Amino acid sequence: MLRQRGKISALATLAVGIFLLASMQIAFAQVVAWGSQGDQVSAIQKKLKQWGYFDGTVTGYFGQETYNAVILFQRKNGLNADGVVGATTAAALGITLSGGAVSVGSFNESEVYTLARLINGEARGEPYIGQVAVGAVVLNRVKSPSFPNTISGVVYQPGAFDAVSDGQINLQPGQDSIRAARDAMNGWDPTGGALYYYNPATATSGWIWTRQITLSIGRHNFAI
Amino acid sequence: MQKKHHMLLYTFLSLALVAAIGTAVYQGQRAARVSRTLEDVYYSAVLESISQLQSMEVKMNKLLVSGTPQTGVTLLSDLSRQAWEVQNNLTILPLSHSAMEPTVKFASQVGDYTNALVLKVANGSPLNDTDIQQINQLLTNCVLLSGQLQAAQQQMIAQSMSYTADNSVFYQDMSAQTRPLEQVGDKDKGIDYPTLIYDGAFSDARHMGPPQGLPQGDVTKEQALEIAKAFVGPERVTNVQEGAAIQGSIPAWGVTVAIPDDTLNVEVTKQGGKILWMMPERAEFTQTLSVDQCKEKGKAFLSNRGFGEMVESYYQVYNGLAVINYAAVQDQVLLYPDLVKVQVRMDNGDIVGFEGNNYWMNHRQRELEKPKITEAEAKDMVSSRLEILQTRLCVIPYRGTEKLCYEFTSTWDNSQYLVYIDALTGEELDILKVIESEAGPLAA
Repeated sequence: MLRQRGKISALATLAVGIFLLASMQIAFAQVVAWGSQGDQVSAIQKKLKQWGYFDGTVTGYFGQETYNAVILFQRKNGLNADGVVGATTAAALGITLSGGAVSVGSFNESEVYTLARLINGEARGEPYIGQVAVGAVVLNRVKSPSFPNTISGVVYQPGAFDAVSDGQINLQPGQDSIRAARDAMNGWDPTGGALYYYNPATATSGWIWTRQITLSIGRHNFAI
Repeated sequence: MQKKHHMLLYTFLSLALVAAIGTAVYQGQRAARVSRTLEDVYYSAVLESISQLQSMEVKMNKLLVSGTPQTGVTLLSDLSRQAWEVQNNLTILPLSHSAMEPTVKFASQVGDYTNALVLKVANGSPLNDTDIQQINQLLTNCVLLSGQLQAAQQQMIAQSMSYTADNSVFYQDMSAQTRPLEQVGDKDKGIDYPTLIYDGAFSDARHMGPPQGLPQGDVTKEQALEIAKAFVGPERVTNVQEGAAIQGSIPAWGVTVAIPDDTLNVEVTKQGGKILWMMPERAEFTQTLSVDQCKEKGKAFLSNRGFGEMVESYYQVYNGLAVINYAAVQDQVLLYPDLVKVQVRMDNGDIVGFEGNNYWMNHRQRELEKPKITEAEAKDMVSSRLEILQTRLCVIPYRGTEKLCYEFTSTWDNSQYLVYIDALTGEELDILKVIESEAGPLAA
């Protein structure tokens, strides 16, 4: 009897495990869902209340009532009723999920924001100079004939930045990263013209170590 | 009774297993679809490059036999656009950067070089012998490059090479099993790209030169600490420490300066002991002062630190900082290459940021020529649509050198424009549009 029980639990765990692995996605996309808190949730609650889908209090916390209201809204508007506010639902609500002090519509701001997201993905937690330095490397590459000619071209060049490959670039940047992006675009270059950087503790390439180092700060060496 | 219990459990488990396997198969198929779409994008980038290069070969041949400047200008414009498209397509590919760099650089320089020739031909100077020789060389290289790309294309088809498996070899050495395209940059098997020599900002032998604004004589690390303290203002400073030093274009000592509510990172140039830049570690200030007030604070600070006559130009506001550009002045001529930026706190007017790379590279006593065109004659070159508000003489950086210009600040259709007319030849060198952005007015 016990043996059979053992077999059953083993099978059960295996089945559940496979199911979870198969459906797992590494998602860093901007979504607001059950458990989220903050200004964005309040904005969503206000809108839903305005239109009669939500009659609780605007608390800024996404719980059962907010979830129900979102599902109702999504059903009524022909959206996928999953109770999660992603890009399409947010657009239907008339709010933007980007948050922060950047409005992506105005001139230059999308470049600032792309740079800020890269800096955040690559160097958050680093000393401020280290963050500006990452931005400066991107701008030096734009100027160099050996790399793409635009900020987005440099950032999204295949294999260039880990934060792009693993999705960390999609995290919302903090105020520090946005300021670092603006400073880098305004000409602050703590790297003296560097085109490359790497983490000396983890870099496996022999080639990168042959480049002349111009700045060493925090976790990174910056090199020409 | 127990048997029934087991039956239900077994049924449930079997269903769960089937569901799990079904999901896995579905995900696998989805991944394969995405992978194929990506391979198609990369493959089309290779095909595009080949097609552009072949078109460029024909155009270069035509250029070598063209008789009029009009044809020359059209062909050169097309060539530069196509070369940049080749560069763009090559950088889409997920290949080793160190292997592809020579090829990418070649495509980029061909684009820049032909672009520089457009202006020359448009101004009436025909292509001379050196130009013809260069173009012949470039033609040979384009033929070689497109040949190699075509060979790579054949291999891709024959071996169904997948570029999405095991890609992203960006910072690593070329492995023994190099991909066919990467051999294009190989020193032994690939193409020998020439060093392009021409009067342009993008030539290989780009003379950045030594920093002209830095005085002779080196300073020590200890002296740097004192210099940084004096720059920040000794009355504010609570502590100075050594920071991260920089190599590169202008080597400098790093100093970390602590003030009551922040930390300022300062770099002091090893040659001459000047402040290369300064940045605050944190900045989130309330905006109490106006931008004009901040401009005055910045000006006073610069004057106090020995910068001579400086005039403010562009500015931005972010994080409660006013980031203001100042340019040096000589004989009432504004020197745009000698530029510094100052970050002023908008709550108390303190200076917490500074950037002087351009100033130290370019600042010197210049021998300014007298304008050969009068202001009235220069005004005639400006479009009649524009309403001119202000005029002044200035020096602007232009394609690797400097030019003396009349700067006309003007408006049209609710936008502000800055027009630069060469004060010696009357050429319209540049037009900048002032655009209101999130952070302040930008000139583009």
